[in-house]
Amino acid sequence: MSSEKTEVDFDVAEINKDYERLYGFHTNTDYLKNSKKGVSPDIIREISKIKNEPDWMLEFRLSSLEIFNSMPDPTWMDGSVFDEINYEDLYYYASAGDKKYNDWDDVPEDIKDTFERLGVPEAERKFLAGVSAQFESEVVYHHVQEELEKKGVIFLDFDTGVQKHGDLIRKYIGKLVPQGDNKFAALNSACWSGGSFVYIPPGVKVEIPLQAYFRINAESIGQFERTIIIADKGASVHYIEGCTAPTYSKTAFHTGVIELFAEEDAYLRYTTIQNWSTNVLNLVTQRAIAKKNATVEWMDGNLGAKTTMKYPAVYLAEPGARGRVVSIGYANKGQRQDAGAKMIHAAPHTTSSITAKSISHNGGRSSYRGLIKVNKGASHVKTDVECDALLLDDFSESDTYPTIDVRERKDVSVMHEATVGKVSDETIYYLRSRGIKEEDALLMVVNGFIQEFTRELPMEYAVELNRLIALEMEGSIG
Amino acid sequence: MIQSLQQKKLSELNAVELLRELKKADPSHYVSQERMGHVERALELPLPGAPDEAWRRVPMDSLGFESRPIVAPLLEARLEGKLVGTGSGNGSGLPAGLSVARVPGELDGATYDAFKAFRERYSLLFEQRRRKNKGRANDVRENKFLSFAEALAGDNLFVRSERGTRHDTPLHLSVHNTTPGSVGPAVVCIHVCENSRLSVVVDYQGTESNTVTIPVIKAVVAKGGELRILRAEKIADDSYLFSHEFVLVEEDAKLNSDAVFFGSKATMLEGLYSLMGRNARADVRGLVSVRGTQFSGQKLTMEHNAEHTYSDTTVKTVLYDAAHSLFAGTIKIPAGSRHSEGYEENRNLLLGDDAHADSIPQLEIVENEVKCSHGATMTSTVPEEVYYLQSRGLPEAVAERILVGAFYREILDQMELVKEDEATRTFVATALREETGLELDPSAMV
Repeated sequence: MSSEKTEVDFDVAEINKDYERLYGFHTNTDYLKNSKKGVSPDIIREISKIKNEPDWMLEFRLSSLEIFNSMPDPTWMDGSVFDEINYEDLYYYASAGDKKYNDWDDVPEDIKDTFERLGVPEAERKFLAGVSAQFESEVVYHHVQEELEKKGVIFLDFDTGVQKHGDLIRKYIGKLVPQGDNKFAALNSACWSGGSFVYIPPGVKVEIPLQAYFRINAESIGQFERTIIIADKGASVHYIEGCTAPTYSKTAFHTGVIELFAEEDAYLRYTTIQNWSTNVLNLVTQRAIAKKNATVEWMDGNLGAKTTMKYPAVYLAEPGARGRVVSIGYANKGQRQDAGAKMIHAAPHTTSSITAKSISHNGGRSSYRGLIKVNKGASHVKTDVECDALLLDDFSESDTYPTIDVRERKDVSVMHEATVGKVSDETIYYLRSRGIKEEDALLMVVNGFIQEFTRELPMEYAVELNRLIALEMEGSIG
Repeated sequence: MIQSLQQKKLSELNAVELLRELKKADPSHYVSQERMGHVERALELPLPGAPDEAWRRVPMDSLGFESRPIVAPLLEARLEGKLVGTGSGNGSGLPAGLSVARVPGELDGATYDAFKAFRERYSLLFEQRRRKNKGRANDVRENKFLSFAEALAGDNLFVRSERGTRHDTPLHLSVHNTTPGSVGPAVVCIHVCENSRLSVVVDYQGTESNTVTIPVIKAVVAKGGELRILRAEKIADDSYLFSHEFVLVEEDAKLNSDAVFFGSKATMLEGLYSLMGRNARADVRGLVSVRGTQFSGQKLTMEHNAEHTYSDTTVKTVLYDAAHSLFAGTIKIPAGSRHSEGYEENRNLLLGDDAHADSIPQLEIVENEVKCSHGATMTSTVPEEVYYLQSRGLPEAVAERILVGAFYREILDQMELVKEDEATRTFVATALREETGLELDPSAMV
């Protein structure tokens, strides 16, 4: 990063000022002082040693680092996005024990106020503010954990997973996102930290959504999270990561790798809503495999971060597999939401659908970038893509970059549709004629626009998301 | 093609030598800064490919571009089957108000002024659109083939229709390389002056084996004008066609662009259509039919650079055997182009067991007061539709043929020049019969 301040830097500074006004987050960065900057084999060895990892993991990390060092930046996106990253200036490991505040009383009023406005449950507030690493109502969650254990479900943070179920992780890690898949996956493989490891045994149906917070001794969401979720034959699980509440990160760089394995007849849903502060580069590789008659669903909400690049993928490997992605992106001032989805039909009788909704506002830029691939031999395939973009003013941007690649003809049906537009004056006028304020009318339309996403969320998340959108849109009229 | 460079290979040339030859061959002002810039790019750029999402899919493994001798391709104009001379009016075989000139050979007097006016207008509009469109990651503005043609094409054609004149009988421009093993660059410039209407059919048709043709078409459609242009391509299975087109459409002007392409080893059409003035309109239609191991690709960019502009792009592709097709269409609406409407549609019919279709329909929108959408489908014949026809007593094969025929007809019936021009109608019917065995009655296309 050059020391000279560009226009963009000032923009970011301004955004963060706004961010502070809205959410009031500051982060105590003292804990970073003892960590070393930059990435090198020595630092990797140190991380591995601190975590007391088995040798194979250290080797995995070191070989990943070599791959990372030899890989160029992706070429399909503006180089400017990657130019901003100074790998030497990043902290690759920060202790999990960092607490932002020691006492709930120390938490500034405006944060408490934000939580209040978002309707974040009491228990979660303290966790989010960093007052406690666990929820107050630990008993409830402990009960959940016990129930899960009884069923044989493994639900751990990834570090503990490596300690306790090393063989299982070794079997699965990097199978869907190989170390050399892309530069950021390589970096994550080298210095991952945090994330979840979930294993659902055959036939087990987990009724309640698993949330990252449920993990006892949970490490806070790290900048290099690594997650593996395995739903064995006939198992069913819904996993929720992230939260609607703002997550402030000083480190400005987040790259995760998430691998989902849905075995025969399994059902796996992964819901994530990211609301990183608007200085963060959020580059995540998310990939899933669906075996015979299995279903994988990605519910993907992108609200925060300066730049998001995230394309959840489903590899439909065996007949009867289904893949579905529903995503929303909200690009506000200075933000770029480059999201999308990929579906690879590698077997006959597979179906997939992608619904992507994006909203650009205050000069934000949202893009849909997707891939539908139908391999030779994958007959009887049905897939449809719908991406809709809403531009809330006349200087925001929206792009659509889908790619469709079909190599089979037998009963293959691929549909892609995209529209871009604004909220029509007639719609607003109609609502106003019913006595609704203009602001509320616009909000209603926007909430209606993303309804396909919100209705897939657990109720409390849906409510929070709607409130968050309202908060983001404050002052958008006049 | 510059005479002294005839039969030379790109790999044998260097920039200094090239520039010297260009200046010698053309002491007029035609050797512009722009052309000199192209010399360097033609020599230095790699073959088009990644990160360009469209060009990286074009098969060029056995092209051997730099080691092919450079030749002048056949470039001639016909009206109603008769070869027309250059110049205008009496003696040339051209109606009043329509002129064709060789560039730079025949640039003198009035022709020189006309060409200069075209170039100035073209450059001005091009610069305007460049300023309107801020750079995007996916834009790859430079292309070796384009620069190659711009730098080396010599004896080019300049077509101009005068203010207020109408030319509904299409002028046929034949562009194709007749020398096997070689590469032929060509440039055609078209100026449709104010309130004029011009119809042009560009024939990329030839049977010569293993040729590479690199044509560039540059056109300005001035205020209130209309350009109707149809490109008809059918070249040998082992030949290549890499064409570039730039059409700048001014206020109240219309572009009616049709293309009928039958594939080759690799056929690529890269088109940039820019709507530069209020009420400018572009209707772009394409029909691509590929069989065997042919490849045919279209990379079309539609720019709405003014308010109240309208565009509609439809490309339909039929794929037989192990053919490969590509459609990469982009609609760009920059800030300020309010009340614009842009539509884009790509329909692919996969009939071959090993066929491979790529579709990349893109939108880049920075204005909210617009209507914009795109759609793409890839299907084979729909079993229900076949079944319906079978239930009416038709054998399956006949039912299939009717449905495929309907797919072709749907787009062909919208192409004005196919309907009006008998030569084109016959070409389409013959090519369809030869390539696909499909009998479409040309007279029924009227």
